[in-house]
Amino acid sequence: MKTILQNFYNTFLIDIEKCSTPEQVRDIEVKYLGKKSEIHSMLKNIGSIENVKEKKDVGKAINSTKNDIQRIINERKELVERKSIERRILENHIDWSMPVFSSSEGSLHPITIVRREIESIFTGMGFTIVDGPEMETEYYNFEALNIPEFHPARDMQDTFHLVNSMIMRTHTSNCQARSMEYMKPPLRIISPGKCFRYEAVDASHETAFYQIEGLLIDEKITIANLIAVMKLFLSEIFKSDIKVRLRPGYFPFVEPGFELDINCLICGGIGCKTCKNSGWLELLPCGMVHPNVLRYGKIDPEKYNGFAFGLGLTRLVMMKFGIPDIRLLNSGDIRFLKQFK
Amino acid sequence: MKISLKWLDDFVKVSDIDPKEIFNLLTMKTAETEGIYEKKDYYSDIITARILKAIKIDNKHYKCVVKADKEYNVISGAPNTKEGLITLFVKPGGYLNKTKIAEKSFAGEVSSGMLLSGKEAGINNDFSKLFELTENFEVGLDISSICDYDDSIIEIDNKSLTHRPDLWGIYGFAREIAAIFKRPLKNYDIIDSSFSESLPEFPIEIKDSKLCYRYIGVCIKNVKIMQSPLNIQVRLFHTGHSPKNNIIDLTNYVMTEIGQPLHAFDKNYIEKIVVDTLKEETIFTTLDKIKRNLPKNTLMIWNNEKPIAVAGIMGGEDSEISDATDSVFLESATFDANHVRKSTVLMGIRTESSSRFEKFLDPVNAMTGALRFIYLLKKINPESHLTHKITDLNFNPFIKNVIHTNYSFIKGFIGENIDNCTIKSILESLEFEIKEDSDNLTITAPSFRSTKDISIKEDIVEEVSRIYGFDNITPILPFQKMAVPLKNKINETDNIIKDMLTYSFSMNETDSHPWYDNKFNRKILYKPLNPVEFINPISNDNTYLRTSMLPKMLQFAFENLKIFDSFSLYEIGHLFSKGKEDKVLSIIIVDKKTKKGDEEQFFRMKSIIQNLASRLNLNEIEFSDTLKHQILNPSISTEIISDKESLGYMGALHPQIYSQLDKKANIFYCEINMNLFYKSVRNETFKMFSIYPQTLLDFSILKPKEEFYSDFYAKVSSFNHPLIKTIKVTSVYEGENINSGYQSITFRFNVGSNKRTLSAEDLTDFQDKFISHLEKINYKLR
Repeated sequence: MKTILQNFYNTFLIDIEKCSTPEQVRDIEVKYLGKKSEIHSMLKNIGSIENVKEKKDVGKAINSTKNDIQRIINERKELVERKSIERRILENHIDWSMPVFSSSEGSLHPITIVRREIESIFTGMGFTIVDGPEMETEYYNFEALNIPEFHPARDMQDTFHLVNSMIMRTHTSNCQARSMEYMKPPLRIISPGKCFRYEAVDASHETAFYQIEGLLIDEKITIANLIAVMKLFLSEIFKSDIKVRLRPGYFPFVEPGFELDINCLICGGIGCKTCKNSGWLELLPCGMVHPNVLRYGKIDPEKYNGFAFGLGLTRLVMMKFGIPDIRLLNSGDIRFLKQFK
Repeated sequence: MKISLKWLDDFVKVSDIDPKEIFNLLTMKTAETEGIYEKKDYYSDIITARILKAIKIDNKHYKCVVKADKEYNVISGAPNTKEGLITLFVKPGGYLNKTKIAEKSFAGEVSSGMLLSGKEAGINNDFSKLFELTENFEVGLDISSICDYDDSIIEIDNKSLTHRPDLWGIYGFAREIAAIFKRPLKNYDIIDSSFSESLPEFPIEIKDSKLCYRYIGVCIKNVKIMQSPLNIQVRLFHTGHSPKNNIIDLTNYVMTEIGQPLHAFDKNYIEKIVVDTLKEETIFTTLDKIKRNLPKNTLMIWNNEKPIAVAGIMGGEDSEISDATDSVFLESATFDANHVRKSTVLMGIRTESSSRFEKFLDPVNAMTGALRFIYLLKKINPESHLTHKITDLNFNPFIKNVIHTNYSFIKGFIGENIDNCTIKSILESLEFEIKEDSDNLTITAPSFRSTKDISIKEDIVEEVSRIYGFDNITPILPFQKMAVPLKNKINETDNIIKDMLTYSFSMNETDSHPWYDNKFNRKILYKPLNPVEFINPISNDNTYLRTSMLPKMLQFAFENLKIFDSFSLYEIGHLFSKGKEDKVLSIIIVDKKTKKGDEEQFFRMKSIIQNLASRLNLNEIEFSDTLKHQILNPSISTEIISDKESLGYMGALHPQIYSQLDKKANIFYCEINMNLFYKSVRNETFKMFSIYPQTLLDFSILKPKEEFYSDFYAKVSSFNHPLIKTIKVTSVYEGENINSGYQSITFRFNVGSNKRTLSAEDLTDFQDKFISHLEKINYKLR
């Protein structure tokens, strides 16, 4: 009996060693421990042993062998399963360097990108964004800004005139009087948009371009306030402390009026083609709102004053992205557009 | 405006200051400077010389021996080459306008150096002959030792002088420099006019003193027309003039120096001056020999009944100074700025004189101008003398402006604590008169700042702050009451749409000019309907504002098709009509040509629009039969409707336009008024969803193909049942297993209750009821 059991066990050990898949292990399990297995019939036959001690010993030996087999099968099962997962993982190893095929991507116009950036800086400082029309009356574009008919300043902004006696706005400053009409001070607005000048087109001049007008009106606003707000804005937009200088500039709707220049970002201030060798770039005309403009907007200039600025958005976009030719912005050329996400 | 620093030095000492510093400080405190021209960087080694010998070597050229610092052999081709002539000579190795003059062989003869015309020497524009030195200069002197040749010229941007009539002369800049550098300002010499009081008046009549504020006439006899002294020519040439003769040069000299335009007439043509407007359109020949059509009401200077000059703009040909002139009538006047400006616009010309008059010149300066001219002429033509009293008709409407303010206001407005005496000395250096009463100030502006520039207390703030230096002001952020900025829904909506089109639908945003390209419109057979026309279009091809963005987007598409096969572009832009401006969203999609491409694009666009509408929580957008849009295919188009109003359209490009393209493509266009999107409202209430399981029930229904889908859908979806949560159409199928002439439309009902789990009976009941609904409306299940 013992020999039979021993042989049975030995053949089992040989068989189990050959198992390399969970299926094979399952077959072995059925073969050696199943209802039709030898060991099963051995157990069944145990009753025919008469000697009690022998019966007990044989029973013990069979059960112990059975347990051993079960244990080895379990171990094997686990091993084989683990091996098979390992194999599966190894077999399914991907080449992470294979290319991917993405569909074409869209793009935002660079003007939109920088415009949003500026809007978020100013709304963060409590400014409201307002809109204005591109086709404008002479009243809002000139008169209400203290530029009467035949004022030489109208020359500075060569104007597109239309047969319906309107004009294309020459600046976003048309929003000054428009917003003063429905908002009462203290007020803080910016007005981004397109403006138009009748002038020759070249790499840095266009007949249509973007500006962002700003206006702040409150009590006791100072030139020092204007400089501080402009500096704060510029250091946000250029992500660094940049050098600025303020010099006199003449615009009939401000008094005093300034031109704000920034240190040329192309050459760092030593002088290059872009800054006409001056080291400075003209970026931001600004000034203290002229009392007549406040009067046009029905605001008492004895009580309130403020400042206004007109940021050249198109120029800023060209500077930020290093766009060499302004005409690219209106080219509709996807090779240009797709670079701006 | 060109500023000669040598000339400036007549009035304020600048010879010890680096021109670059003047250049920078003028920009920072007065007006924008554009560049510095250093004469010595362009010219060198020019000296006075006498021709000792001149031998003709061919019909044009002379071989000369010239005495300069030593003797030179030079070839000259100038017609006035002759022995004894004193002229200018550049030594070999010297520079003329940055070009090095080397020894040169000419017809077998060596020429060392070169004899110079006025143009070659950089003194005037005459290159017809050698420059003749008439003032007895010694031979061999460097030119810079006998005149202001070695000068630095600062160029000022005229646009930055628009509001400063006082800066249209060098003396105005001298005053600024004196204030900036705290240096004394010297006066200029004028003639004492008292001697002329006894002479007779000259007849002058001003018909409209609102257009001519002052007219001063001076009659001068015994004038000798000649070349101006060397230094006057040099100064004029350096400041942008072309020297001609002493009289014309002196009018320019005085104008450049003190900003007062003068006009000299040949006195022989003048009997009585009348200043009056034209009563009718008149043809008049100006001294540039151009016949001009002058509009009615143009202010003219008349000799009795004959117009002789356009007031403040240009003289006439007849009364021009000529070599034969021996007596001169000098006009020094002030004309209404707006009138002069209007006339220059109507005539289409601008002159040095008109650009000054249109800035509101100070009439006080007119007398100064006349007296300065006489003073300078006497020095050149000592024998010249006045035949009449200096006749002055003065209707000066301007008074010196008086401004009442106080130190506290000035400091408060600037935001910097500047001391009172600094404020006072700045203003006084600019010739303001100050009266103090503790904090209060009574400030009288000088006459030359009172015509336009200075009238309110903010103007005083500007004067103080610019000379004080804007850079010396400490920036301080304003204290402001906290307030939430108003929301701008339009801006927010634009941004949402742009983000979706860019990031969800892979489109490229474009930006375009708002006018049509007529040439392209003709090419695509597009005819704008009632567009607004420009009075002054930028070109003959851009005469109208756009009423649709379609042509521009198509143009972009055509251009990009040269490189790409398929792409989508969009832009939010403005459209214009007579009384209205609309903002629209314009989308163009372009794909490789396929058989069903148009249709595929149509439904893609429809889906994009529905996506946008759903993102913005808009009410259902509807579509309707097309109103037929130019260059779109009427069979593959639709109107886009919201609240029963057509707010847009979309359609495939008309087949006839495809012939314009080299490449085969499907092009689809959509244009929607942004007002449609601005109607959006945010959904702000939460509705509890059902926590009980829901069942999806699909029904495929046969629809006759010719039946309009929306009619069919309306009928089917009119089915009413309390358990319906949502209805969705999930597929449209035709083909195998479907009778031809029919389509199978699959409806998916989401069925459920908020109160319980549905039973099998509920579902059977639902199915039965729906099927009987279908029977009622005459449809069958597939």
